[in-house]
Amino acid sequence: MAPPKPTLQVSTAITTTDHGQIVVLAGWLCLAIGTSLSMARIYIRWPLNVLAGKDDIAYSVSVLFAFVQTAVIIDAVRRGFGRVEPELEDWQVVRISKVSTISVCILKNALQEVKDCLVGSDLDTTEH
Amino acid sequence: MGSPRLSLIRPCKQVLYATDIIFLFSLWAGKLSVSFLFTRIARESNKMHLGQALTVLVSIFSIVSIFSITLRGDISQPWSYRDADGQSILARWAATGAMSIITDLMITAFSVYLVWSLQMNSKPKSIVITAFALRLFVAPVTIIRLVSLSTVRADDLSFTYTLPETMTQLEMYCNLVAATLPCLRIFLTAWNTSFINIRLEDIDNDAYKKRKWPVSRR
Repeated sequence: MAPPKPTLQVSTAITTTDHGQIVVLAGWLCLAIGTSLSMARIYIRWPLNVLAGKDDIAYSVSVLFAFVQTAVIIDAVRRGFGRVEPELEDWQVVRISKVSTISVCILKNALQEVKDCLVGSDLDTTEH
Repeated sequence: MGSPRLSLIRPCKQVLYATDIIFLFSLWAGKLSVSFLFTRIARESNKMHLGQALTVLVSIFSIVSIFSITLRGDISQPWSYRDADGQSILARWAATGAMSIITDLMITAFSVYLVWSLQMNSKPKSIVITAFALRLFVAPVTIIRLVSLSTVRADDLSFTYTLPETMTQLEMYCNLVAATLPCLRIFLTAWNTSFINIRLEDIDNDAYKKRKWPVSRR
């Protein structure tokens, strides 16, 4: 019996109600470009302890933040980002919430500190 | 089963708020990298001071940009994205985009100033300027991102924010490409002029060893 002929099928990853995979596709392509660039830069500046300077340190910070940003957004797509909201299930809502909790807590505390510095913390002026 | 529509909105906003701030850190660190490169390759004191001034300006732009996006609306819920806040947030992003484009223009202008007075052929000069001028390709991406941000709807943030997020990725990595291009060997060797003590050895030792012509030593 002859094996069935392989047929080409149009991907259904991107639909009219789910554009999350566009972000994933862009994210992975950008990660590949970022990795190649970093390797090229390391190759040019090797040995690093001799040739690397402040510009390379700033570049490393930039690459690190870019990778973290892409990783977070790809993870968010896996948990529901990019879909029309009525399509999302409760478990996706809970999971995306876990992703955001830690980063948002840190940011919120930092913002509160900035606010206290700019405006001044509330003082208890009531007489006892 | 509860209403997923209502319960997703806040976590989605929080993730996008966090990623927007990380994006800004990456963007401005990339631009700082280029300004540090200027101070590294400039050997005349006035050019070096100008490079340091550029670094300070980029640092100020980055701080203003990060605070303008971070401190918005209700301080207890800065990630909130209501339709009423849409124009305000878009204006903040437009200001950030403008600062980014101005920085790119200044970097390109600085590269022209850096090589203009050098006694060398026009070809290596144009190669060096091209390496820095390719950064201007980030500007159209910034503008397209701003246009796509204007289409975001607060009632369906998860779906309508996909295009701006894709453009965010593109802008972030285009900025990284622009920060790396001036360091590539084809552009670095154009600096090997033996003039004002610019030494290829300082910035690309491997290429320096492969070259046959003598290089002036201090």
